[in-house]
Amino acid sequence: MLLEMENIQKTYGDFTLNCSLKLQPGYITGLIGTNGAGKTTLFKSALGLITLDQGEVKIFDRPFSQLSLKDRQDMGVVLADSGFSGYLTIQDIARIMKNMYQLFDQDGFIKKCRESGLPLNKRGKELSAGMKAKVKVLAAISHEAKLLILDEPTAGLDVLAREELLDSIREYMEPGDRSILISSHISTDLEQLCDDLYLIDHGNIILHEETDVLLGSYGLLKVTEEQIQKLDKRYILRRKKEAYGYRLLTDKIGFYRESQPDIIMEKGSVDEVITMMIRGERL
Amino acid sequence: MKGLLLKDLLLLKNQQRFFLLFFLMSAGMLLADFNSVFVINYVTMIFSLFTLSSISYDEFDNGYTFLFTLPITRNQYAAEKYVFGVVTGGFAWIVVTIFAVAMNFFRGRAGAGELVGMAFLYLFISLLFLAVVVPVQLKFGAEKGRIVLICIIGAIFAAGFVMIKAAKTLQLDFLSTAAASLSPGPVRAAVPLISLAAVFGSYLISVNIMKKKQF
Repeated sequence: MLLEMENIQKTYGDFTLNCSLKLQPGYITGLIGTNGAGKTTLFKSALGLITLDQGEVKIFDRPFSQLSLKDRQDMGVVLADSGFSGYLTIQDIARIMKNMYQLFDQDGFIKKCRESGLPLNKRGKELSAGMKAKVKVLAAISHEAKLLILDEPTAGLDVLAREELLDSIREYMEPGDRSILISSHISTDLEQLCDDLYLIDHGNIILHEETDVLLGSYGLLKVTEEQIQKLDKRYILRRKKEAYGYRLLTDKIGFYRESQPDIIMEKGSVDEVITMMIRGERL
Repeated sequence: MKGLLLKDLLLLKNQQRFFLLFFLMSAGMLLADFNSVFVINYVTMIFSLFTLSSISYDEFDNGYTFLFTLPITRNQYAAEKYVFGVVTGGFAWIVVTIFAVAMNFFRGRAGAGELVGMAFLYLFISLLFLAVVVPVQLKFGAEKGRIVLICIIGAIFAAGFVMIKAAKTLQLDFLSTAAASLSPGPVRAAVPLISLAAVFGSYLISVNIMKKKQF
């Protein structure tokens, strides 16, 4: 396992993070959740930036505290609200990275920055949000890291910049032995990119599912009061009151398609699943 | 460590005007025949202070969080701040001491050996200075750190003032007796030892501060 979090716990005032997560080799695992759900705390836990109250984080099958600096060179990190000092230029960053990571491909990094139209001699604080995000991702994928941890890498980007960035991430995955843990507010990014998804809410993982299953087997049922009385509710995860009756989330849409063809159904999308899992009530 | 040092040196580029200004000022003071030892001491102290501004750069805009995802340890980070202070202070010290000795030579004065000896003494006093300011800055950050440093310096002066007052009131002359009994040789030998021990102790405190930090 490239990353494993076993019952980790961290409490800040009235917020408690309490979760487990696994990142398989060759996987892109997405983490979704609303603002304040605990995504950043989970990332900080994975990166040893905060001490845990309980539980353990293992990276490359070793507890985080036992990682050597060489192991740490095998990790690439992008954080939404932190990066290299805004007083450094891209050229400066390239030189620093070369001295931090043995496998940093300085020429390749500079070349990619040039191709993306990034000004090499401008200081970070003079760059646009999109440019800054691009530099962060390019730096993280330019040192042959086996594990990428990306916290909101596409935050604040327009569609084109996001697509370009997602392409860079896909390109990084090509060798096949690499893994990524990524969070994003934009669920379509994660739908396209991730093999599996974790949904976090109030510090707890409330759903973990393969993306294909989520998009293929999850769905919404729109039922009237009368229909819900007669419905087999074994595969209903959440319900939400609507004007017409209820909206139901199921993880076995195929079952209802066959058994209840008269009910209006919609295929699941990540956004729908998030909304229902968080806002809906359990049966 | 190399990467961290390079980062701080590259960040120093942002202060190159300040950097040059101090070199020109010190050259001006030496040309105007200010006390050479004072100029060397002053410039070395100021340049050691660049390590404090490097800490400010690191913590600015949430920078610490990303910095500690890089392949560095918290011990290395703490150690690098002393090394950087020694590099910047040492560089300034070498340049200004050479200039001061040259001026001494051109003015046809003797005592270059004594000047260099005194310069060495102040180099170690700058180390002592680093030993105090680095952990304070790491613990309290740029804003609060400044206030804490002012308080520490104030407390040292206040303690000195109270001691002298007390000595005068009690009609004790222990300070001048003590000072007179100290011969310059052992003092000069003690200063480097005390400074190095203080830097080592200060480093251990800084490591402890960094290890407790949550990002």
